Amino acid sequence: MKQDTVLTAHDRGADAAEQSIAEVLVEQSSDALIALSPEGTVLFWSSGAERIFGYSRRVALGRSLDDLIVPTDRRAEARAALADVVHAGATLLETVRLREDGSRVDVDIAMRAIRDADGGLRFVAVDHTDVSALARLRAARAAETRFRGLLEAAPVAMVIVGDRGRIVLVNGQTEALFGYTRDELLGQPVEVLVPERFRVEHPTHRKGYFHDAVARPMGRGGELFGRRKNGSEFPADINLSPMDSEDGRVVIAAIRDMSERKKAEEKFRALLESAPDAMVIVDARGRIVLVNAQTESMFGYTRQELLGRSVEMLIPDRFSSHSTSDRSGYFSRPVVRAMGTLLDLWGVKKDGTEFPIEMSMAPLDTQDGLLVSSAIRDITERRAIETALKAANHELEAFSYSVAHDLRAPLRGMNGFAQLLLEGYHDQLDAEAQDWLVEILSNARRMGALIDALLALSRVTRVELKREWIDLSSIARASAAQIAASDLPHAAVEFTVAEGLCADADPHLARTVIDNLLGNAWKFTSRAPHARIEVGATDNGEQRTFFVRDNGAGFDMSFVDKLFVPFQRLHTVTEFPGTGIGLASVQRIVHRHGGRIWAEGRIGEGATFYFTFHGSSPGVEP
Amino acid sequence: MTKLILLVEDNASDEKLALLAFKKCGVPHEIVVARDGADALDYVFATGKFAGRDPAARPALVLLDLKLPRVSGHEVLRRIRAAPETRVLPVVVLTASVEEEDVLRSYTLGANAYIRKPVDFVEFSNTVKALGAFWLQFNEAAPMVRSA
Repeated sequence: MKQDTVLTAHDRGADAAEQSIAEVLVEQSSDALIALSPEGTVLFWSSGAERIFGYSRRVALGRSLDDLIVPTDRRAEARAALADVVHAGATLLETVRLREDGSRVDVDIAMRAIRDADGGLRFVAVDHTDVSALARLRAARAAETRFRGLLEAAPVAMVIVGDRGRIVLVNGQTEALFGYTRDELLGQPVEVLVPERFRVEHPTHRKGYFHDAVARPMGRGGELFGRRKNGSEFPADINLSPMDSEDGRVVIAAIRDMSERKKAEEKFRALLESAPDAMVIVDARGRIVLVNAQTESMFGYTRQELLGRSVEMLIPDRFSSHSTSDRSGYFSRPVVRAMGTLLDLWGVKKDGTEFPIEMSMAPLDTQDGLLVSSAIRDITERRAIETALKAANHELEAFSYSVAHDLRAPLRGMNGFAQLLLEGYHDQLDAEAQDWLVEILSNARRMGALIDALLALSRVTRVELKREWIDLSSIARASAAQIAASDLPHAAVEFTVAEGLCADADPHLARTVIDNLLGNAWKFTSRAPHARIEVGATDNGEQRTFFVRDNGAGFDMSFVDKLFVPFQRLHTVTEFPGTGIGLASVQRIVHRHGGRIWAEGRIGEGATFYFTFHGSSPGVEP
Repeated sequence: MTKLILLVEDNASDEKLALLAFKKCGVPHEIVVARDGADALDYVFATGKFAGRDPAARPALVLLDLKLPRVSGHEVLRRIRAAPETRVLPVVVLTASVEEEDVLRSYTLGANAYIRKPVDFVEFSNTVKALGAFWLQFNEAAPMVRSA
């Protein structure tokens, strides 16, 4: 059925008022209203047409519409439409037209054939509606549907920008991060997300990027910020990536809020700065990546002088090559090394001064690769104190030795003359006087024993410790044989030694330990009916604990802390003889080896002494 | 023939005890006491206050303490060994010290023996007796070197 509009005769007679209303409506329409001859020549060009296409009426009238606004690639479509109108009377078309300035405009076109009463085609009325804005939204929505799943799955804000800098697509993270709703952003220039102070230059950068787009982080190394709807800003990490589609090129911006990271970094820096030690962080090539203020003051360099330089600059030359191999070794097997496990380390200041240091190392697995953080402590002062302490100790030992030594001389006098008196004047002294002289003699003898024990104790502290692998089993057997052969009061003892008790200890000092512990065991089992003494070891994983166990007199556990104190005894001399020095010596020896000693006992049921020759210090490498 | 023993001892009590011990075990020899290191050297070399002494009449044995006033026992030993005429004189260190360092130094300087003074008098007199017997009766002394 023909839809042609026919102008009838009586219309021509319509009044002039009606005519002028029609003209106003035509001129006021925002659409481009154009009349075409059947050949396609412009017969009428409305104000709307001037606005949408840019051509003035004067220019347009009499021209071919094809020449004016139809893109070359749409000419065939336009001709087909015109033919369709001539044939069918009307047609609708959704297409693209050109403006005078060459830009493209999306249009909906309605065409209608206007005929006179006898059916002749007078002209074709063409109504162009500018649907650019709609087209943009529609394109955005189409893209959105395509990428939505992908975008929403991304952990960061994703903003897709078209070639005119308009936002075509955003994800939920973008809404959350910037505080805008999706609809507030779509179609807007991307600059709304940029802080005002950067807005002016942003389009230039943006156009530059569209022109020469490669996937890369935005603003290399620079600090980037995003701007929220409420005007607040946040530090951002932005990655750009171009994507070419049938609708032209778009750019995908992935935006990450770095606030937390910045805060964490600030916390880390604050921590670094508040550390009491110089903190130096180096990369696998030995270059300094980070230092704190303590490093500056300790080594005399400024931060700028250190960053990016080799860490070798902080180590005296004579250690440098060693340090390099040490470091590469460390990177191949990074474990935490505690303070004090790396011995005899030296640092060198900017002015060349060397100073002793203590250092701990820890690996830091970062996104920039494996880093090593070192905490460095200047131990000059401590070394001085240690040296002074050593000297003071030495002096004290020498003093106590000399005192013990000098105490012996008067003792000899007391003992000697009492003895002479007892022997030479035996007949002139009654029994009581003789008894008293015997008391003097036995006290002098006991004091002599105490002084000897004191000397032995001081010797234990003074002799140099020489570790070697020793067989504690054979030491224990030799010691037991000697005790058994001595005149210590003892009954028959059932003595057992575990085989293969090896220890890394000083052989002489270890013998002193065994002598004392076995001597005690023998002494305190002297009254036991079936004396049993056992030497053995227990292994609890990494370290070996030796023990000496007996079933003798034992002791009350509530006095266990007195066992190792010099001159402290848990029995009277008449019960069991002794000086109270033996266990103190044993403890000193064990401590000098870095070991531990402790005891368990019960009165009348015996005692067990446990000891080690090594401390357990985790993280120390063999 | 009575021989001469030089006892170098600064402690009066120890000196008395030593003399008593010698007497008690019947050591028949003459005992001369020097109370410090300088006196000991003067006696041995007939110098100082012993200048009038016949230098050839040397002691057959020197019992030397280490901790001495003026000149230490080690120094006395060193000078005795340095002089050709006393190089082979028997010197026994008799002291309270059992310090390894003292023992080693004494032997290095040429001591013939090192004996620790026991606290117990019975032990002490036994030691003195054995000493006298060994050095003055059993031991064959080196021929006396005459000084020029």
